[in-house]
Amino acid sequence: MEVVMQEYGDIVSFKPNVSRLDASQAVEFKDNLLQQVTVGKIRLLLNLSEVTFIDSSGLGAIISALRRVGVKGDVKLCCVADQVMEMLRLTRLDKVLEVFDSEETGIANF
Amino acid sequence: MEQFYFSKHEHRQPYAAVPYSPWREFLYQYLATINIGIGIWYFHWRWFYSLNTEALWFSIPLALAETMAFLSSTLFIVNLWKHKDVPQKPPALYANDILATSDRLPEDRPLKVDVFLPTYTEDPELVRYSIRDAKRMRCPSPVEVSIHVLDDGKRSEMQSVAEDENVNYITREDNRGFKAGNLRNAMEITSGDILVILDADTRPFPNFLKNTLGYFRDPDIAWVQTPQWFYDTIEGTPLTDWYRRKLGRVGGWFGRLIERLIGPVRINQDLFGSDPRMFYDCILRRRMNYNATFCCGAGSLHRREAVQRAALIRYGSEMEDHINNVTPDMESAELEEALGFGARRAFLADTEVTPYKYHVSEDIYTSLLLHADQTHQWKSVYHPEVISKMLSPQDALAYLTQSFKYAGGTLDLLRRDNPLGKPGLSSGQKTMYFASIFSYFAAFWMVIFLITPPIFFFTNIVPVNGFDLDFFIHILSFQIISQFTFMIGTWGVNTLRDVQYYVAFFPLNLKAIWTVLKGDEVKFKVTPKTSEQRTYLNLVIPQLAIITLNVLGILWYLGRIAMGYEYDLMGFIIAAFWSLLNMNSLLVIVRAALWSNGEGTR
Repeated sequence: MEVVMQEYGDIVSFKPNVSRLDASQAVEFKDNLLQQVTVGKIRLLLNLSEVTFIDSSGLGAIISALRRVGVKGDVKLCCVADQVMEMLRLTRLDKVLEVFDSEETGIANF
Repeated sequence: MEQFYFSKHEHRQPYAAVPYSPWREFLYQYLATINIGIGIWYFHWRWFYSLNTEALWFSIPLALAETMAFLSSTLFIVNLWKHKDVPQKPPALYANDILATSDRLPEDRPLKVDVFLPTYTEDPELVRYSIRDAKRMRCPSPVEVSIHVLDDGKRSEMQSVAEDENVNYITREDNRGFKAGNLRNAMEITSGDILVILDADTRPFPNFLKNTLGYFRDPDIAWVQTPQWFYDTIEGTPLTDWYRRKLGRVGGWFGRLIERLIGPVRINQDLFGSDPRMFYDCILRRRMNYNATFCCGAGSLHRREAVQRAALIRYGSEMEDHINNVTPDMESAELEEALGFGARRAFLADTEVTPYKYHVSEDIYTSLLLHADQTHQWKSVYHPEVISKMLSPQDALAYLTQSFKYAGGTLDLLRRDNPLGKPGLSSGQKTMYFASIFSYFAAFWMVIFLITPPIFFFTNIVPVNGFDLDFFIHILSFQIISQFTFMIGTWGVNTLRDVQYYVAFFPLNLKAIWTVLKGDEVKFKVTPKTSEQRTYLNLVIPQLAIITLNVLGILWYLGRIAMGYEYDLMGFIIAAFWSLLNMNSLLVIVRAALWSNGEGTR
């Protein structure tokens, strides 16, 4: 899985270049995220602009990262497609994961 | 391969599921309707005309026990009402075959199946049998199958066997959540569209995948349960041989005569009552009618997305509840937000997403939660054909421990997530889940049935107001129609052991009810067996006590008759009949406790 990463101070923007974040991608996606956490990057902004479809395994990977970043860290989302937003609402995880319209807004309000 | 006690049973062939017959079903529904009608007529008479008003302390509990038993059997009648088998479809081959149109991949790929073999303490060489059979499953091309041994025991021998057999070995640092946690851990590092859950001793047949993957072509099917067939139950001794051994040649002739008259009889066959055919072929199969077939663990297939999605929804909802509990309507919005943020953090730190609920009965609980998913109407399937084999408990302790776990786990659902009040479940599903729980309460009325004859023997008091014609008309009509209804309802399945254990399990079920009421962990605590001890009579003391009470009661009453005291002959005949019937059921568990044939060990 190709991932574009950019650092803004202690915040890392993390953009997976896949259109579907499903079970077949979730393990690798999660491993990538947790790798960042392991090296101390615990403020992660996930830019999902390329993702048009997410399933429960993809969401599960994000929750795993959110659990792993601990009290001082956080995981937030930006540029989410309608289907992704729908999944977040369905699982009520929109109450847990803050969503921004753009990467800039996300960084500014992290 | 290493030989085990079960190696000599390898030749055994499974039963064929009872074929569906619309005529038999119609006859059953006809009888069942009459049964309920006669039941209402009987209980009207029972409560209003038959009570012995001079001994209400005796007659009311018995009438109440009978009424509760009738309610329970009515739930059973409803359960067995109708067949609704789902026709088998050709196996799904590609990922898009199992997805709804809106979720399909732009570029299709072969379907991926993960086979999980969770193990903890089982002998790695025993698990090798299951691995080999899993490898022998015929896999319809181009489906990709990966086999994973999930070893919570972190054993190097198990790892060697897995590597030797060229299958994946997965372990983890802790044992949190036991089997459910083990499965969760494996799900996090695998990506198959369909998960197959086997136990360490579950040995799938070659047609396992071929015959079940087709069900998932319906995108609403969340899981498929297949029957669990134990191929190592006690085979028993033919009646002719048994009589010959006990009574010589004449006994042998007698035995042969009986077998010619009523068909083959085997003494001690399936003494532990492990054969779950009645449960699978009758109860679970016909729950398809209500979309209420629940998962029983080993031998099941699951749609990953269904299990994972329901788990996330539960997670989100539990977190919301947790935050709401910490921040009840506060005046300061800022304070509420800050507290909510802290609560969210605490919840995230403490709570995992658990696809399989961490619970002693994780299978039925997870099924209930999936059926209750209000964002998707998930369906479950029972596949009636036996397509795997597994091992059963080989002594009374192992058997009682397992049964206690089932009883306690199922009863615990009532405390945690009462299905009757669970939003998202249909009325049929609520009724069926409740029926599973309610059946364990039989212990209460069973105690009353078991002590009624001795109370009569020792007091000469009868619980009804007389044994007149009216009594016989009512009781015989009700009993005969009930027996016929259940005979037709369970046609083709031997229910003898189920009936006997239904009676004999009363202390175990009472203990399970008490454990759940106290909120204790569902765990069967016993004194470890010493090396000299070969039997488990200590586990069946309540049953022995009831048998003793009945035997003494009969002797006491016979003495009473012999000594010329006042007696009630009809009362004695009826009480002795029930007493013998009850003792016959109780004796099964005593015989099981005494059973020792050197099997069960390598």
